[in-house]
Amino acid sequence: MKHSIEVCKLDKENKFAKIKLSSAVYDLPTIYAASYVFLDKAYILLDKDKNNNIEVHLYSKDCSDLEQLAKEFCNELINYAHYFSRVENNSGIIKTIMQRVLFSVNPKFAEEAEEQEIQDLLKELEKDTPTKVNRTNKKNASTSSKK
Amino acid sequence: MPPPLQKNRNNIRLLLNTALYLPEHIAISLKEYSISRKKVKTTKKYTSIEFAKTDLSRILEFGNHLLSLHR
Repeated sequence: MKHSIEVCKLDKENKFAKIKLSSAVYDLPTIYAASYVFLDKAYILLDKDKNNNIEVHLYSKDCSDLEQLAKEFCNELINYAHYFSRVENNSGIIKTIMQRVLFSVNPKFAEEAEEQEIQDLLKELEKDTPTKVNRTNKKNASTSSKK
Repeated sequence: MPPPLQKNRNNIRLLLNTALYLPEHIAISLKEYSISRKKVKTTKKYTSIEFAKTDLSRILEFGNHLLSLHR
C-alpha cells in the first residue's frame, strides 16, 4: 500500500485532506499522538479502510493550504514514530536512571536494597557451603583410608 | 467503505470506527456536547451519530474532543 495525500471535497464550500497510512508502518499510538498535536491547527477525523489501513481526514481551521497541512502532519507522524521507538529501545536505561534518582531522593531505599542484596548473597553462600564441606570430608576420608 | 462524514439533503451523519474511537470516549463526548442518545446508532464496526445539516463545525469540534480524550 502506498501512502498518499489527497485533497477531497465534502461539499461546495468545504474541502479536506485525506491521508492514507499503512498500519504496518505507523501504529495507532503514533497516529493519536500526531493528531493530538494538530488539534489546534485542524479538525481531525480518523477511519479505517478495507485493508485495515488508516485514513486521516484533516479539515483546516483557518483555511490554510490543506496539502501543506497534510505534509506537516506526516512529519509529525515520523517525529512520534521515532520518539516511541527510542523510548522502547532505551527503556532499560531509563528504568535504571529512574531507580538511581529515586534512591538518591530517599537513602532508605538504597539501604534497603543493599541489605536485600547482602541477604541474597548470604543465602547463596549458605546453599553453596554444605556441598563444599561434603566434598572436603570425602577427600579427607579417602586419603586416610589410603594411609 | 463509508467516509467518516456522510452528508445528505436533511442531515450529516458522523461514522466513527469502533476500533479507533472507544465507546467510553464517545459516551463522554456525547455528554459534553449534550447530544441525545436517540441520535446514536451502534453496529459492530461503527457508531453513527446524526447531526443537523448546519452543524458541520460542531461535528468537527466533537471529533476533535473525542481525539483529545486519548491523552
